[in-house]
Amino acid sequence: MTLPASTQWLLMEGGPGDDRAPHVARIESAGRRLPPSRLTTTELMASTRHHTKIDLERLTGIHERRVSAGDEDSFTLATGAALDCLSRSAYQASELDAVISCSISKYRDGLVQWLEPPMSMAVAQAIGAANAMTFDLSNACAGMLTGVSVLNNWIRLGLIRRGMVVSGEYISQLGRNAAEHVRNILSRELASLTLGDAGAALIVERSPDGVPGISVTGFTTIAEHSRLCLAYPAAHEAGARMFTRSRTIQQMAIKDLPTLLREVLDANGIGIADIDHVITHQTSARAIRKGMAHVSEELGDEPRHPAVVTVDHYGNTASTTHTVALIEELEAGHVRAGDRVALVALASGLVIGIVLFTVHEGLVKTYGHND
Amino acid sequence: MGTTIEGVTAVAGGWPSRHSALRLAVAAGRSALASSGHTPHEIELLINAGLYRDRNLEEPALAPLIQEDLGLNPEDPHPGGRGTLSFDVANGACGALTALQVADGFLRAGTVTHALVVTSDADPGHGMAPGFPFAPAGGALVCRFTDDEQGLGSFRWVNEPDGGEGFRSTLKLVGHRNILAIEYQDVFAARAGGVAAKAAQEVLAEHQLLADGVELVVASPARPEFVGSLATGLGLPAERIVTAGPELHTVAFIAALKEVIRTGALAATRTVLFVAAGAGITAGAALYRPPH
Repeated sequence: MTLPASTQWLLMEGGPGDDRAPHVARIESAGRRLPPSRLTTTELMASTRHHTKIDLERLTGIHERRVSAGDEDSFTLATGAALDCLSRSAYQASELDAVISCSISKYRDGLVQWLEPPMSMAVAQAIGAANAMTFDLSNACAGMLTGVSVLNNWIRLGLIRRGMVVSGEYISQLGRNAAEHVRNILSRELASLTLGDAGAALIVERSPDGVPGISVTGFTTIAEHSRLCLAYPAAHEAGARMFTRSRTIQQMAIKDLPTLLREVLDANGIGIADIDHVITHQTSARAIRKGMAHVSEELGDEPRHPAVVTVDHYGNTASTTHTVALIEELEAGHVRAGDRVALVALASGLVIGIVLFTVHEGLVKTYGHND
Repeated sequence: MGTTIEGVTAVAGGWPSRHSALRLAVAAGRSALASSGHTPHEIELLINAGLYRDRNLEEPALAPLIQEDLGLNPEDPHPGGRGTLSFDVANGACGALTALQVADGFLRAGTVTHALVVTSDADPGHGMAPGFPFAPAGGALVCRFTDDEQGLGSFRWVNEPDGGEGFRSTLKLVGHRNILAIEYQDVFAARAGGVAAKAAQEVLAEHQLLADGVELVVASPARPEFVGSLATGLGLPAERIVTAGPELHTVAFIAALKEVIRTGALAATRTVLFVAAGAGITAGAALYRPPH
């Protein structure tokens, strides 16, 4: 085994003790909104226009996903998640200094995509965040974690005390559109059939002095792969269509991830075995396990717990995926105070990003656990 | 210590770029790099603030495509090099100011040494945006951190929600096509000017400055009603407020900044106020001390 060569490739920020950015940020609370309706892969594949002969469940490990029954859209999912997050937070909405909306989909009033005013302003108004500055950030499925890195930066600098990143992804309609067009396993719209709807929100705050929180955020865009996954409004159908070279994007992500993970680990003076939980982007159970096996092989060890998999019952919920999975682990009592968690974004762009943080007691308690 | 701005560029769209926000952003970015004397390799952060783009692309952000076409460290990670992060911000016509604020944070913390802010808008063509009201254009600037006393000060924002009544832009199925529709009321510009004045007053209070001490205001959008309302709200003569490109959208702020550089007004002042307002209504302001 040869460790991947040491790089300094990531836009990386973290660690206390820097005069310019003396504070530490931490994830104070997390919330999500999942529509109650379930759509099984069997049901979805039975709805395809063409007889595809694709065993999507075997390929991806996705049994079902949550879908809006038409009553939820990006705005309601984001707002529901934001309110859930606030209900678990020590803060009132009026105490938020910033609200950053990071969704790819920006549907309101059903399938009307709003470009202006920004979604963040609508969410802030809906939850009563009257004193928050607002803007939207778009970075594909890495959007929420990129938003966390912006808040981490502002909190470390002392520019703000706390802020919210929020996202509502109403993307099951891409699956419905894809069902009209997919003919076989080579279809570039196959990935659209893996999508599910969800809302997610995180409040990031300044950590009390000496208390650990986000130890590092590291991101990069490997732009020579920028055109491997493209989504546009559909030409003649409501909503959007997405075209993905799934195999290539997965190969590239798996190839580059160990190098970049090592960079983050080196910056913290730790090894992969010092990480308790790894939550990667959820595209397929097979891809997650294959990717983590490659990481373990390259880094010579593995995290303390197996990689978190929620894609089997929620599908790929785009930018909300890490928060949805984190809450799943908090609810199950798998994540404990003091645990070190790595959130790993792998997104169209090709974006690879890592947020490494220590879970604090308050976050665990809001999910009914004491440690 | 502060973030300073170099290589301010605005380009107009002609054939073949008038329907390509991507090409316009790349052209502006290339020009900004050339005029600031920086290489693509030096840029560690790219933020795109443009909204109206080729085929109304929704994923990925447009920034990675711009990054690839500009050659900003687009390759796979390897020893001896540095990567670039790119993403989009969307904040209506305030996007360039938002991008400056985000870039400023990463520069202040020493996370990056150089950032490129780009923005562009273009009618995507092919009947996707009938009646598209903005001229095709691109804008770009390079930010870097200096240890001098110059640069960007703190930012302040004010929101006065109108639910999109004054200005809204939506994509929806009309008949059998997804159509981009941009709708605004004439009263929006004057209202936006009032909100912008409040954001500007907050910045001035933060820096313990009086409005009449402000020699120059660089502002967008370039609507006379906006300028009039902003001037009234600040108690300043409208002549001190510089705007550019009434037909521009997210590029208007950078075009106004380019205008004060072209005329020498920026070089003749010690303190300039940046102000922008957009749909929402949201407005932001920041103080800038240009390097001399």
